[in-house]
Amino acid sequence: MTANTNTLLEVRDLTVYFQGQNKHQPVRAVDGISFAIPEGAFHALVGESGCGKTTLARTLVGLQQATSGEVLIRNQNINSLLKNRKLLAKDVQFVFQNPLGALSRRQTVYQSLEEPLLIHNVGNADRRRQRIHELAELVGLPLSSLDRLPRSLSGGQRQRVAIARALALEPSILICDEPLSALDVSIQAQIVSLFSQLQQKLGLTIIMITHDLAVVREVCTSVSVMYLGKVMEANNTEPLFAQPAHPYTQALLSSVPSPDPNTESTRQRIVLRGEPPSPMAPPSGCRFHTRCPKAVPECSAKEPVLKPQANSGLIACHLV
Amino acid sequence: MPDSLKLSSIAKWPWAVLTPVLLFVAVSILAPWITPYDPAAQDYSAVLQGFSQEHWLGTDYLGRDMFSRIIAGARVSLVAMSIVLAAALIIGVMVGSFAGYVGGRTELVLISLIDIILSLPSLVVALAFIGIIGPGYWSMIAALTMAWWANYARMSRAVVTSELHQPYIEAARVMGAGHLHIFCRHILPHVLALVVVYASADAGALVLAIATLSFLGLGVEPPTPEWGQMLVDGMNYLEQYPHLVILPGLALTLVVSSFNLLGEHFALKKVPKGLSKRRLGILKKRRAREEMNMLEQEAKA
Repeated sequence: MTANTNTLLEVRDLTVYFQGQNKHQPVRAVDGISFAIPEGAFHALVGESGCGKTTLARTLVGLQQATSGEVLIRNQNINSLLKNRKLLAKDVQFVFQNPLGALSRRQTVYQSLEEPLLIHNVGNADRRRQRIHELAELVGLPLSSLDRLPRSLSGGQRQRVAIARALALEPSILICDEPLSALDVSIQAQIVSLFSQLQQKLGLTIIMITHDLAVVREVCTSVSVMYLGKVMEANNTEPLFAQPAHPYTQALLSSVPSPDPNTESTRQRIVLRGEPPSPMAPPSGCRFHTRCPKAVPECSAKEPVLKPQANSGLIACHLV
Repeated sequence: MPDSLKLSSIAKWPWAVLTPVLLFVAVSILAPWITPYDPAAQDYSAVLQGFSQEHWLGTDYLGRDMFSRIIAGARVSLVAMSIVLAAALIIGVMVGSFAGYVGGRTELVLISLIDIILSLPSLVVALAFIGIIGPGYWSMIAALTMAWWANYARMSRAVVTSELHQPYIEAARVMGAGHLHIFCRHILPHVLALVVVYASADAGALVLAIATLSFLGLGVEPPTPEWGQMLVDGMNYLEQYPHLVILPGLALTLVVSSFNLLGEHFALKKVPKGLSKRRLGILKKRRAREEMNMLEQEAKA
């Protein structure tokens, strides 16, 4: 990831701990993460379940209080921005994982789309209706669906509604928490292309959490790979997929089947042993050393820092 | 049990349930105009009469017209019931929602208080309260409200706590919505949908409680016609003139059971859904009209 001059969102040494059953051993969901997202980026956060991706995303929109560290949006601390949530809402919006839960089951699509406009006192009824029709067109919702309740929409349409609602206030940053995982594969493709269209049309900066590496490769400009609350590797998409440097990234990428039979036949799946360790008691040194196929004694002793490497990437590994 | 008596079959006959309740409400509202006699007027030339042309349902020991008194009694019951129900609903929903929304220690204190009230039979709470402030119409209303609100508070709190952690509430928060907006627009409709259904069944129990307190001489005071009061008055003449007791008793039974059936009906049919469906239809028509107007304007331009 290049150090772009136009940084829109920056995270400095962010930690988010949750009080678990044991008072002295909090769950370290996010444990010291730093990154900067330039304007206009389509950034992906990948990593296995429970590595803290969602917590990180929730912290970025202020749904979760950071334990320490800072989230800066246009060089302003999110805590000071949160004093006026309405202002923050105009800049940063969130797309939830499950659109059915994120839409009120009592509100029609029209009412759901109107809500952000009502909260922010946008225009009169005519102006709002115009804006809702614009939004529906933008995300490809038929106007006839405006009077329906979320439960009578298809999964893809629900997610379109959720996206349209997030875009209603014309935010510059969109944070999406696994927006594809509740959808069918065929619908996923539509929503992914919708995201990249929207990004180009509206000049959005998107941070998307996902499991789907094929999607990342298709649309994202840069990727951060997370493991147990830390960033293991961050790079632009192309070099990361071409030459994954971190053993964890390599293992992750080796799990993606290739449509090309020749590549697929030579693909060597790196199977990681065991379960990811508990975030209540992360392993000493490098967090990944317990499962790393290339671990050396140094790995369990000293924690590697995330430092720039060749190919303009950031990697946290002693071996690179 | 024959099929026609099963509760689920009631759902197919909404008017059979609704009619007695509507009749009760209509009679209560129209009472001053449809009573043939002044319900408090005494006529010593015609005491303790049976059914006749002049007095359809006879007269009591002071010569007061029974028919008029039963109708006027319906009004007294309805008014008192409505006041108590409205007050209990408002207090209950407010306290319960507040407890659920705020959470933490405040919730714990409030919910303990609610539990204490609920652990006692509601009539005992009402009696204790009347014991403190003395009998009378308004103290009966206050006492019944005190005994009734906790139920609604408990229900409201349960709904609020379950809705509060839904993702769509968080979505509203991300949109910049304040607490008032979130509560009024997202949570209150859910609370009301449940509480109103419960209240419709509760109305019967409340009518009965009002009659009970009046029967014990702790509620509505003598000159006012009230069914519980009429039961007491008629008791002395039970052997010779049983209609003095049977008629108000019958009225009471009818009202209470029809309210219970109404509540049952609402619970089975889930009326809020039906209502919202109808509202959707209205919204749809309105939107179609607006779009027509827009098209016309565009055509003109």
